Amino acid sequence: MKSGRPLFFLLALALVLSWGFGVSFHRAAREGASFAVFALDIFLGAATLAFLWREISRNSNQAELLNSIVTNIGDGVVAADASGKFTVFNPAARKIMGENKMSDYPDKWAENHGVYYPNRANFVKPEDLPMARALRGEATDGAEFFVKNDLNPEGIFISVTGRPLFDERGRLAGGVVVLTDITKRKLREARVEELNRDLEVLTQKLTQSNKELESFSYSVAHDLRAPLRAITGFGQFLLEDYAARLDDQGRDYIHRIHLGCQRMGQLIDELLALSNITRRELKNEKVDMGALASSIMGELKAAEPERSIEFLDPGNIEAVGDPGLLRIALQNLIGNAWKFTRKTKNARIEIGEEPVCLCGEKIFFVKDNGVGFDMKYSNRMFDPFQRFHSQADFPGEGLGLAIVSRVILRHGGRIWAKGEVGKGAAFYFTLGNGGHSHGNETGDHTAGRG
Amino acid sequence: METRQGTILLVEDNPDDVALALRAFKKAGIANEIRVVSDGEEALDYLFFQGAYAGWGENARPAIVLLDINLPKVGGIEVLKRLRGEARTRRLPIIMLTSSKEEQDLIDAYDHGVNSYVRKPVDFVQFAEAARQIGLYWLLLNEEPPTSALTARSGSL
Repeated sequence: MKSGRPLFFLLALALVLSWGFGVSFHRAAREGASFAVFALDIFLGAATLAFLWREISRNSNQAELLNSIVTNIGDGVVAADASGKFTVFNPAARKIMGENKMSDYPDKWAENHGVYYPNRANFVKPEDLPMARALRGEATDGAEFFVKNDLNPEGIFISVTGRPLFDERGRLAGGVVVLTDITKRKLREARVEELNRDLEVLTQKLTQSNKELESFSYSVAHDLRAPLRAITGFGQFLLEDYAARLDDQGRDYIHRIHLGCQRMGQLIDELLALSNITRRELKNEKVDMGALASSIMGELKAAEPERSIEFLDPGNIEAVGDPGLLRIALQNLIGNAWKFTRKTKNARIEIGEEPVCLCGEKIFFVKDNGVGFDMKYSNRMFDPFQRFHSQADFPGEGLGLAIVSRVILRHGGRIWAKGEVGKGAAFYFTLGNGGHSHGNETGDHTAGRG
Repeated sequence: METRQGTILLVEDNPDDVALALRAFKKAGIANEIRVVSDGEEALDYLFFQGAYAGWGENARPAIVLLDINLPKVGGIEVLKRLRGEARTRRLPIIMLTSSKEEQDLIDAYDHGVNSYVRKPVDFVQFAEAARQIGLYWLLLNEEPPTSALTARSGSL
């Protein structure tokens, strides 16, 4: 009690002054001193009394204020004297600790009030109670307990802070503890933990299926190629060693076997490429799609220098994405344009970007004036193994656009096509956030077509 | 093609692939003896002269090893790792000859000190061409590590 010392001092002062006042009065009467001295004395005494009265009432106001705070505060406040007798037990503390009477302090305290360790199984040992610790002179910070009693039948979680109290001479005079209901926080934490566990399980499942996918791809790469090698190899031996015993038709059959194996080898390679696109890690770098397109056109021209195709240098077309994957996508799109303009006079291939739309999304395009396609197939053309031309007219495995589509989807973008039979085809795509000049990695969105 | 003496050890479990490889090397004009072992364990026994090959001398050591990755018992990468872990086989020219072009297989093979990595072509004509080039390079052009160095400083790993 901080106010104790000045109060004592004031009482002593008042006693001294009233003694002085009394003495002055008697002396004045006896010695016939002047009325002025007497009046001064009276005044001094009255002033002292007024001052004293103000101090006392201020102190009692403070006590009332303190009392009001402790009564209305949301946290439980409990104080005890050195013997363990409770001097403060506010309503919030009562709400937490229940209505049970304190008894056999502190041995039965945890049981009477249903105070458990956070495992909810064991009562808190008497020596671990923050008040018991405070009364031993120890501080407690944020100790968590579970409380289940008559007022809290479902149980609540509390956090307790305890401090020993000392008197002015530094002797242990008692203890005070503050109890805070943290049930809501605990429930949130539990929910977060539960979500984390779910996430872990999901991650494990994902890792597992990725591993399975990987071993599947491995098996495709390795095990499917081996028998294929045997078929084509031994077919070749037949041709080499037994050609004389085969007629033209027999040799033609072997030739067809050989071609079939070659196609299947290509197919396996492309399927692998497709699965690699899904599995590999996505980089996020600045890519000049124009330069990429020009270099791909250069490669195509070098492979077939006899073809003349009009191709305008698109200049710098800025994008953000995985350079390797975007090259694969452009290779397929431009490769298709190259392939499907084979029978077109004045063939033309164009690569560029549309004026930025209101949404701020960049739209890239690859257009040609080749054989085109019927728009009624446009929704199927990005699915694997979909072909719209005969193998004889335009050879292919039907995986090119599936690969492109997967690259675009991995970037979080969209792809669509416009075309007309005999007039050409146009492929448009976006790269999600990667299409913006300051885009961030968009992750692995697979929204849209799969 | 006048190639160096010395055997080629082919580690291959698929009999079709063995037949293809033997013919490919023959077609390529490589006259060196080709010994075939059909799993990783046998490859290690052969190269360490242990088990069924105990007592075989250093002159049985092959000039090059053609190693598949997907092998029974002990896998190709593990065989490579163990060969590189022993002083006497540390510098032995080892060429991966495999169907796989999985990035991880390539990384593992090079990390464990493979000398070359060749993917078996599906097409036999290409396979024969690959065999010819392997023979040309590894048995003719390439200087082999000195035989004394193969055995010297053993245990000084």
